[in-house]
Amino acid sequence: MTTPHRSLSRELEGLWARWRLRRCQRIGAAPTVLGRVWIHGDGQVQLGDRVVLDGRLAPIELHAMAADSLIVLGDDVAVEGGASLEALQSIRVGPGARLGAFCKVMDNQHHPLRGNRHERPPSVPLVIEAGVTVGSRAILLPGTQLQKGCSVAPGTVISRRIPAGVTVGGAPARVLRREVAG
Amino acid sequence: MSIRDRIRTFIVDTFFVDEFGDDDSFLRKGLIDSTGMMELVAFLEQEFGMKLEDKELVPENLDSLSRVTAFVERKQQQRLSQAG
Amino acid sequence: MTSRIPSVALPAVLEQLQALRKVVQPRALRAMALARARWLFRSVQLRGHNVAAYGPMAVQNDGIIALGDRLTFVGGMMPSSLVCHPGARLTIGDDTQFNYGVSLEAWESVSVGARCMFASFVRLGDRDGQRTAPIVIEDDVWVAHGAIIMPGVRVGARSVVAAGSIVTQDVPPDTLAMGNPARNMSLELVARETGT
Repeated sequence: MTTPHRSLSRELEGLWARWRLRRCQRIGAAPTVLGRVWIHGDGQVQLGDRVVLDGRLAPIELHAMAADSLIVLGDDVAVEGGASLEALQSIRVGPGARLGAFCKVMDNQHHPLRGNRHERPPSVPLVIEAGVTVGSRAILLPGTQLQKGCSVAPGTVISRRIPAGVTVGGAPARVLRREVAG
Repeated sequence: MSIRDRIRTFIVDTFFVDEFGDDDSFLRKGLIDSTGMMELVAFLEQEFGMKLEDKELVPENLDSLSRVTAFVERKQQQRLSQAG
Repeated sequence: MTSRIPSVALPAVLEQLQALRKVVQPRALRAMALARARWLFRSVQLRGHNVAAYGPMAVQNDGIIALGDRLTFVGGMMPSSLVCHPGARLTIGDDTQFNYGVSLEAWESVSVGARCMFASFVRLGDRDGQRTAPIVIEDDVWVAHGAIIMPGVRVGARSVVAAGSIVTQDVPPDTLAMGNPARNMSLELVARETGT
């Protein structure tokens, strides 16, 4: 009895989510969009299958700033509200990764530390590999490479490569725990 | 392990850079960025049990492997002479 | 067979419209931002020229707020807030730019210099539950994303406060403050004279 009704509502939800994500260049199967999701900029935004964008807490911002910038979210990526991804070159998030609330991911510092503050420093591509968990309010600066399965504690500031399976936390980031080998 | 080797091992393990000489500037060769420099300072404090003053965080002390090594040795000697 | 509709190169028209939009839109946004700032800062005693607010803001003024010329408040996912409690003074110098979600709260005195840059989610408050002490930010300071500046801190000219830092002690001029609690290091150590 309820099955056709349910499948119809699921279809409609899917269509609605796709309409919300209409500015993405690629959308995988069964996206979930809740709350506000902002997709800005001239660049490419590509989403994998079963992506969950939960912008109920605060808007999620996917900002591919320049025409050749690229944001890729892999399959099963979950993003919480307030997360902001700003790509000038490229940000790649691997399958199964989770980005916490209000985390900031940027591949360019936008201003140099010294000298003329209005010229842009070069971008460094940013990579988040499969199964990574990023805590809320974490800040991932240019040069970050989070390798498979590592996790980032809330509020951490990172700008370098973090090896697979490691938990890091603090500002600047320190290794809190290494995964037991095997 | 000598002081130099301990510092070098830390830099290689943490920043995944391998090819650098003792006198190469970390900044100019792009080996360590500002966040990494903070991590290096934290490592020095923990590993060698010393306290770095903010005014000591200058390129003359920290910008290359040889400078860091010399700086750590100098600090340790200072502490010895103060203690003895 | 010829069409009776006069042939108009539709793509060309669209292109022209796009170009027109590119010219008009920023100006319209700017005009709206200036008008919004006039409304938002209506309770502010001293307001400079060309103050622009590109998004919603929370302004609560029970003390004295003095804003310089050509300030920019960028809009975004969270509104910025300016709070000045009774008897307090909040001063902001010329040409300073604020990203979204910045929170400035003055119980005694908060003063920001000219040409500073405040990134998103920066917090400045001169009372932290234990004490109240004035905050001074000198000229040309860049405070990066998510930094928190604690009461009684003076940040020197041309210094940079790194992302996510919590600044508990004074920062001298030309210094990078980073970490929790923030440590100061010479900008010489991490940046060349020009560029990064």
